[in-house]
Amino acid sequence: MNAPTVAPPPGTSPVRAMRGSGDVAMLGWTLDAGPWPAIWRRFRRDRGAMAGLVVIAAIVVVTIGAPLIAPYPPNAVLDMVALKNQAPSLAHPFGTDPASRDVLSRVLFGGRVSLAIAVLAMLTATTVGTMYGAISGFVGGPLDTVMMRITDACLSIPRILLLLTICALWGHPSLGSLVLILGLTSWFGVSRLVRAEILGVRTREWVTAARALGATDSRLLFQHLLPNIASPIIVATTLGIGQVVLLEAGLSFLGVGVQPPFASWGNIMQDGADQVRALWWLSVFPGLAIVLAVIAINAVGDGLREAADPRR
Amino acid sequence: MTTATFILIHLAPGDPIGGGLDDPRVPAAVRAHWRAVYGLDQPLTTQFVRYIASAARGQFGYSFAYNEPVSTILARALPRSLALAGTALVLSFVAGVAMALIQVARHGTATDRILGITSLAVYSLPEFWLGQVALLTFAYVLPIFPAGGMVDPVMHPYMGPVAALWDRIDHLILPALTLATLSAAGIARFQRAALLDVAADDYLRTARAKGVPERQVLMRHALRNAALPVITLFGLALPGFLGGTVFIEKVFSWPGIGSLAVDAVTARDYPVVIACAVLGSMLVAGGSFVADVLYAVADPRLRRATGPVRPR
Repeated sequence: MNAPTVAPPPGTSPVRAMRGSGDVAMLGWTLDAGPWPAIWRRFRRDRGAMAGLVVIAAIVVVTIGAPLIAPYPPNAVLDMVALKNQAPSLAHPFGTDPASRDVLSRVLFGGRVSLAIAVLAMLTATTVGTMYGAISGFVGGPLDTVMMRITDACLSIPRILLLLTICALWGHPSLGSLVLILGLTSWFGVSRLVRAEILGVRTREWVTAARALGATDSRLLFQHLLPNIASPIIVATTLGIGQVVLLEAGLSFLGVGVQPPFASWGNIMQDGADQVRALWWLSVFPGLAIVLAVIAINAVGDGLREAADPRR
Repeated sequence: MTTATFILIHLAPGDPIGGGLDDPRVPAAVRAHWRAVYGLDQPLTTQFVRYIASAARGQFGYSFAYNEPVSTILARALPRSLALAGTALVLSFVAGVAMALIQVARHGTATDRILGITSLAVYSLPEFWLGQVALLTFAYVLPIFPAGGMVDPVMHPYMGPVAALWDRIDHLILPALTLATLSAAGIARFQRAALLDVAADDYLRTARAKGVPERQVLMRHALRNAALPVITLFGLALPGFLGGTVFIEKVFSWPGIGSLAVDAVTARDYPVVIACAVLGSMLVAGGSFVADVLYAVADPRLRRATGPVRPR
C-alpha cells in the first residue's frame, strides 16, 4: 500500500488498463490509487464520522443557499422601534437584535463568512506549515535546529493574546487580512507535524531508490515524500479548520475579528454580549451553529485519523 | 518576544494618544505636551531602549489608560487570574484523568462511547459560549450562583472574614467549573489514547496473569506508565488554557489578566497589551519548566541522564 516506488511519468495512463495484470510489476511502479480507497472504505464504516460529513454538507448547502433560504437580508434594519430585541417567534425564529435585524438571516449569512475564513486561513496555514516543516526536516542539520526553535518559540506564545494584539493593532481588519492573520499564526503545529513525518519517511528504501535513479531534491520532496505523508497533513488541516472557526468566533466576540457590515457567528454574539440575560437568543443560536459545525468538523477529522492510521 | 511585540505595535496605524486626544478640537500644543510627558516625541530607538530598561526592572512602562505603572496593574490582576486558573487546572486534570480511566476500564462499552462523544462535544465548544450558557443557566434561570464579578459589589465590604471568604469562593465556583469542564474534555481525550497505547503492553498482561485485581492493574500499572503523555500535555495545554481564561474572565467579569488584556486592546493601552502578552508567555515558559521537572520525577530513566534526554 506504500506509494509508488517510482512515480509513473505524468500523462501516461496505461496504469488503469493494466490494473491487476501480472505485467504491472515489471513496469517498475505499483499501480494503485494509493491508500485513499482503503481509507474511504474504513471511513464509511465510522458512523460518527459519516454523520459529521452529512452535517458539514448540510451546513455548506444552507449557507451557500443563504440568499434563497434566509427570510431577510442579513443587514436589513426592519423597524428600529417596533421590531428591535424581539424574542424568538414564528416570524423571527431566532429573534431580532438591538438593530432590529433578523437573527436567523444573520446566522445563515454569518456562516458563510465564518466558514470561508476558517477554510482559507487553514489552507494558508497548511501551505506555509508544510513548506516550512518539509524544508526543515528534509535539509536537517543546524538549519533544522534553528527553524524548529523558532516554531517552538511561536508555539509558546498564548495564541489568543498574540491574535488579540495583532488584530487590535491592525485597527479594523478586512476579511482578507483576517484570513492572513489567522493563517499566519496557525501553521506552527502543522510544520512540526510535517517535519516529524518527513524525518520518518526520509530514510526509507524507496527514497534511496528514487535518489539512485537520479531524482532531484525537489522532485523527491514533491513527488515522493509529500504525497506519502498527505494523510496526516489532511487530518491536521481538518481538525485545524475547527479550531480556526472557534478562534475567529472568539476574536469577533471580543470585537476585534470580523467587522460590520459583515455578520459572523462570533460578532452576532457580540451584539448581545452585554445583555446576555435579556437577549439570550443572540448568544444561544449563533453559538449552537458554531458548536454544530465544529463538532461535525472534529468528528470528520477524528474519523479520518482512525481510517488513515496504518496501525489499526 | 518583548521586542517583537514592541515592533509590531509601533508598525501599526494609530496612536496611543489617539483615544482621548484624537478630537480635532484639542489644540496641537496640548497633544505635543502629552506626547512629551509619555516620551512619545523621542525617536523610536530611544523609546525602545527606555522600554527594555523598564521591562528589565519589571515595570513594563506606564499605562496610558490607568495612569499607573503597568507593573502595579499586573500585580493587582495576576493573583486573581492565578486563583481562577489554578483552581480550574487542578479540577480539570482530576476530572479528565478520571474520565479517561472510566472509559478505558469499560473500553468498547456504551459508557466508553457516551463519554467519548461527550468529550468530543465539549472539546468543540467555544469557551465564551459555554461561559454565557453557564451564566444564563446557573445565575439567571436557576439563581444558584452570583452572576459574574469577584465579590458582591454592594455587601462585600461589610462582611465578616468568614462571610467575605465564602463570598469569594461563591463567585469563583461557576467560572472555575466552566473553565475546568472545557479543558477536562481535551485531557480526557488525550489520556484515554495514552492509556490505550499502554493497554496492550506485556507488563499489564503479566500483572493480570499473576492475579492482580483489574482495578489495581489500571490504577497502579497502566496509569503510571501513561502519566508521561499527561505531563507533556500539561506543558502543551498551557497556552490554550490561558486563552480559555481570557474568554472566561471576560464573560464572568473576572478582573484578572484576561479581562485586563481585552480592555487594554480596546483602549489601545499598548504598554498593558505588551505586558499581558509577555506575562502570558512567561507563565507558559514557567509551566513548561514545571512539566520538565515533573517528567524527571515521573520517569526514573530521565533522572540518571546528565543531559536533556528525550524518549524517542
